[in-house]
Amino acid sequence: MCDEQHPKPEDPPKKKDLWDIMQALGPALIAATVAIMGSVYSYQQAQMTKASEMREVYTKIMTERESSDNNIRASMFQMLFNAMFDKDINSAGTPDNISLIKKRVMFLDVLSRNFDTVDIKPLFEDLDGELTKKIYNDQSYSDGAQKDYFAMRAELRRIGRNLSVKQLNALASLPGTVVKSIVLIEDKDRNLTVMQDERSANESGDNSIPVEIKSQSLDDGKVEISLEYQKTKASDQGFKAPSFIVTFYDMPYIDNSVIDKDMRVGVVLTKYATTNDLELFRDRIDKRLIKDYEDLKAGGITKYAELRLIKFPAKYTGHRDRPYLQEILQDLVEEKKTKK
Amino acid sequence: MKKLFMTFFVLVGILTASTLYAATLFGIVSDKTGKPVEVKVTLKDDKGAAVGTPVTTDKKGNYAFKEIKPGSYIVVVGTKDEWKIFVGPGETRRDLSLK
Repeated sequence: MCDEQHPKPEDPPKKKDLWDIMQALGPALIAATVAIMGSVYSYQQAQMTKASEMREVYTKIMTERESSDNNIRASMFQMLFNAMFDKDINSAGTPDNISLIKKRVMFLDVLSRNFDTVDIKPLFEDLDGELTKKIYNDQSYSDGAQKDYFAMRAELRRIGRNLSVKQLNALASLPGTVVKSIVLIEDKDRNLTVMQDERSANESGDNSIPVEIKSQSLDDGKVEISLEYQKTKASDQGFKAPSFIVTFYDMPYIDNSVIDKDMRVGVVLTKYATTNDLELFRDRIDKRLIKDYEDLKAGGITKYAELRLIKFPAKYTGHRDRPYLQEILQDLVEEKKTKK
Repeated sequence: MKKLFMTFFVLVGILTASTLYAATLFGIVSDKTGKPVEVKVTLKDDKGAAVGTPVTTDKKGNYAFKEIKPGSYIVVVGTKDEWKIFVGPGETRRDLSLK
């Protein structure tokens, strides 16, 4: 008998399932995942460090730029101010000092262009007054010199006017502001008329300015006015607003009056003309305006002034006028109460 | 002779140009929301007589009356809106807002 024992057929190889594959690849996968995550983390960290460094550099540059700008402005201000009070520039006694006056005008121009929130009105008015005295009162100057002084004063007024109109335009372009034009005319009998732009129907509400201009006098680039406020029941009925003088050097950012808790009103002199100058300084007046001046004179007008009255929210005032701390604190308290 | 006439006319032209008024009235017409409007603008003297030709504002609401005599005027925008204003020497800007 052949009892051959047949070898037991081997079990077919067991098919590897996902678990087996995972088990085999697991350590490698974990290692790979850790490696990838590590790389991503390092990359992100590197990016964040880079961004932080960039921010730091940017802040440093900005701070340094601001600091150097401030230093330049400070030294410029000091230099211009010193120059303004230099005794050589102020030696106005000599007849041939037109070049010195030209320098003073130029210094004021540079000063006003670069520091528009600094109140340099007294410097402008001082020079304007000095020139006016030389133009009309002082007999020790020749006609030619007086004409030069007239031209210098016109230049000085142009500088002041440009600056105030620039501020007026900037304010007028912002929401919540209202601008009105007022014309003042003096005739040959010295009668003064105030003309306000009139609309067919009276404006009211937000478009009205609760202030009326009462003119007192017109005097060579100086307009004396008083602002009559519309009185409420609570206000003093007997109060009469005192007058003040408006010149070409009144800047609305700085020279403004409080009319309400958060509203201001500023007055800007935009035009002034005296028809008497036509005879004295005809050749120094802007030639384009001669016909206009002649016409005003023919109409019996001797002096003409145009004012702009602007009402604007207090938040637009210049830095000097900003700390109305009481108002700010009050607003904060009210805001806190509303949130509660 | 032709040259003489030409010279004469040029001289007359120059003289006329130099005696023109510099007074100009200009500005922007806008509606109550502040949007510029295209509308007819007429200028009248203080007695109500039309001065020059009426103008129509452009797309940006601009209008202008050039070389006018300084004095009191009435500006009529459209048919019913009127402003009484004084035009001084040189340029006078008046922005007009409709109701």
